[in-house]
Amino acid sequence: MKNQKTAHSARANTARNLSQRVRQAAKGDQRAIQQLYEQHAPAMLTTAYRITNNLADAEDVIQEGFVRSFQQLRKLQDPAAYSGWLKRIIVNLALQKQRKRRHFAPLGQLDLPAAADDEPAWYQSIPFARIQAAIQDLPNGSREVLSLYLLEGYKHREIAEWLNISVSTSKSQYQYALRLLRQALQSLRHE
Amino acid sequence: MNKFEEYLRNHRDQLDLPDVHPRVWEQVQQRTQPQRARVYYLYRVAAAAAAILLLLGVFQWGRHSAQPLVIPTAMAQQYDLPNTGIETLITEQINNIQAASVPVSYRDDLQLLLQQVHYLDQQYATQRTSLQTGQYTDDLLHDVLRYYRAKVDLLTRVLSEIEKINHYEKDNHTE
Repeated sequence: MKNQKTAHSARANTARNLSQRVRQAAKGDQRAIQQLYEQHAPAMLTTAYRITNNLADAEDVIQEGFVRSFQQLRKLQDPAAYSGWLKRIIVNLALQKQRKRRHFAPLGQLDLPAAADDEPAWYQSIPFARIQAAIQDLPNGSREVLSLYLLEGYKHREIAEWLNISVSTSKSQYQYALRLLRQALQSLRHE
Repeated sequence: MNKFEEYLRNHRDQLDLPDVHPRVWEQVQQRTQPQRARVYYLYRVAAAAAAILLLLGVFQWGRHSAQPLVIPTAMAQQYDLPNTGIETLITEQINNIQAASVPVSYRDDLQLLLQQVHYLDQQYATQRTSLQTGQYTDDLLHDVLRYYRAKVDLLTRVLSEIEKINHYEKDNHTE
């Protein structure tokens, strides 16, 4: 009980600090702006890179995303919502950059084994760097869906809207990406 | 969601990229710094800014001729100056600068401009002295008019800088 209370008050403190920092940044406080940047930049770069699959593009995206967020800070009604708001800006920009490269494989020809829920956790022995590389090797459209759903936590309804596809397409592209990923990682086990 | 998916989701932080290159922040910083801060080398100023009167030792303004200078209209138009009352105009500008106040941190920047006014006065001291005799050639008058034009421009610039500084300070200390 005590641990829960401690965790809750730590979260409340973090939210208060963020709100205060956002309010200061909205007034043009350069130090607060830098602190917000340093706090969010690594995660935002990862989010952008998962979509663009290109580091230079991802850097361009987050640069633009941060600048826009700082320029529009006064419009943000709830300072505590800055992190989620910034991430949406970044995701939008990254998806725009990828628009021409995006391709969704026709899924009528799928012939990949489905996962069994009771299989041993073979994947736990694979280094995370190799898992990350395998994700980045996925085809563009399905990689975006997998990243946005599984790693960034968005719902299929939101993803479908972003990518201008149906919810069912989003779900099936996700399953396709997941199966490709499993296959790629399983082949690593045998190396 | 099966265990494989849960594993990936629960360990997504381990799939993050390690570092962001410093060049990204440099670009963000450059694009978000206020333009005026870059131009005026702004420091953090306390809420109650100290006001000072600008040093006016550089001004050695006095009457340049026994009679107020009357400039032929064509000449006045050439230099975009009034054909009478030029000394009054300059005196007014100096009085406005004397009455102005800016925070201490901007003093050095404005001193540089005022120093230019002082150099200008020194450069044209001979011509100004000759003008006081009331007898002068057209060439001398052209020289003096060039001097007046430059001085009016410099003093206008000083006043404009003071206005910008005080406007910026007011913007940044408003809640």
